[in-house]
Amino acid sequence: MGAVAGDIVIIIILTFLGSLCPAIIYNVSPKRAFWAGVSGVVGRLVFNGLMSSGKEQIILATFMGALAVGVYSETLARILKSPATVFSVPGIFPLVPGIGAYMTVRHVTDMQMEQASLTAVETIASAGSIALGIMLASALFRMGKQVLRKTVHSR
Amino acid sequence: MKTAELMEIALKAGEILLVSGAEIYRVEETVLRILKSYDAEGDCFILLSGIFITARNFEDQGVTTVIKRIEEQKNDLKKIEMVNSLSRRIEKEKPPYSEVIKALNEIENAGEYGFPLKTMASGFSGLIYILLLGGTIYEALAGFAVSLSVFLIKTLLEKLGLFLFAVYFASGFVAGVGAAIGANFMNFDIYRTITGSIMILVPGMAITNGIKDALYGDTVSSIYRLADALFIAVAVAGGVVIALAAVARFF
Repeated sequence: MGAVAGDIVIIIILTFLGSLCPAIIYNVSPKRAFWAGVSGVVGRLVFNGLMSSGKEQIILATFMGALAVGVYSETLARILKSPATVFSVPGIFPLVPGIGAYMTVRHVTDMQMEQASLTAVETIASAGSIALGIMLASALFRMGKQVLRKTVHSR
Repeated sequence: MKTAELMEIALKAGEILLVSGAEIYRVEETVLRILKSYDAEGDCFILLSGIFITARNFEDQGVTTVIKRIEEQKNDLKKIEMVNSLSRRIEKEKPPYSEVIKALNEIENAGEYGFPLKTMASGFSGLIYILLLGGTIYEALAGFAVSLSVFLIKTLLEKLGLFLFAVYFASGFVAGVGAAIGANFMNFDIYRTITGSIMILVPGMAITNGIKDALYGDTVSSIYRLADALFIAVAVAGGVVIALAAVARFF
């Protein structure tokens, strides 16, 4: 149990820094950089939680991770009054399917086209589920805003 | 406020947002919010390559249209945030022209993080992502060096004004060569070293904003941004492929 808790702490620290670095490259202001780092941690913890139940869950895990990043970013954007992009762009970095992309390239160079197409589809699906997660989160928040506006007007 | 002054403010705010890589709806909202705050009414049409604003000022009944061609695109989340909070202030307090234009000039010239800090951040992102993938500390240190040189090459080529495709191809090539050499001489796991090193090349901003533009119905900009992201991914992959093939051939 202690080892597992230690692992989680290490993952939290690494993903925090792993989102902080892109935040610096994208020039997020120092005041917001900490929260951009936390965004990556939120997404990665959700991802890891779902991945622990089996490796075949990768698409669902990536989607839920991205959704968590999206919801976190939109919520924080309203609290801190800054664009959601500030938190969501660095936040998706720990979810990027880098290994899948690399494996695809690797199989292509080794002329193993069947495996290459399998990993390519998996990678594209992972990337697509990141997009879908972020999209769903901001669509939900946008819908909530419109519903709120309508109820206020009808009064 | 005079029509000319109003248009200058609206155009400048929109331009800073667009150049810094903001979503299209955010640019449109900001421009319209500024027009409305100063008792004017108008419409705007934003593309990634240009801004078109037309407005009628009720104060002096002036009708004007301004068009601005946008050439460059950078990713600067800080400027987007600053313009965002300025436009909120304009809506609430309606400050005079001199104050707004001063604030906008300040935002336009706002500094970025220093080059050394950005270089270190990209080096550390290589190190961190290799550790996250379960790499050893030696692999991580090699990843730090490779990632750092990838960033330096990318910045150098961008300064020279090379095509986007060539910049990312060369960066991928550097990552591939660096990792392949490490794998050959130090017995590193090559997949971790490469994957970690190319993390800084991931077009995160293009993906996120491409999705958001699609969601708000700005299809043209969305397709442009997503195609950009795809091109970058293909270019990096191509660079890595050629590097791996070349290193395998010569060692």
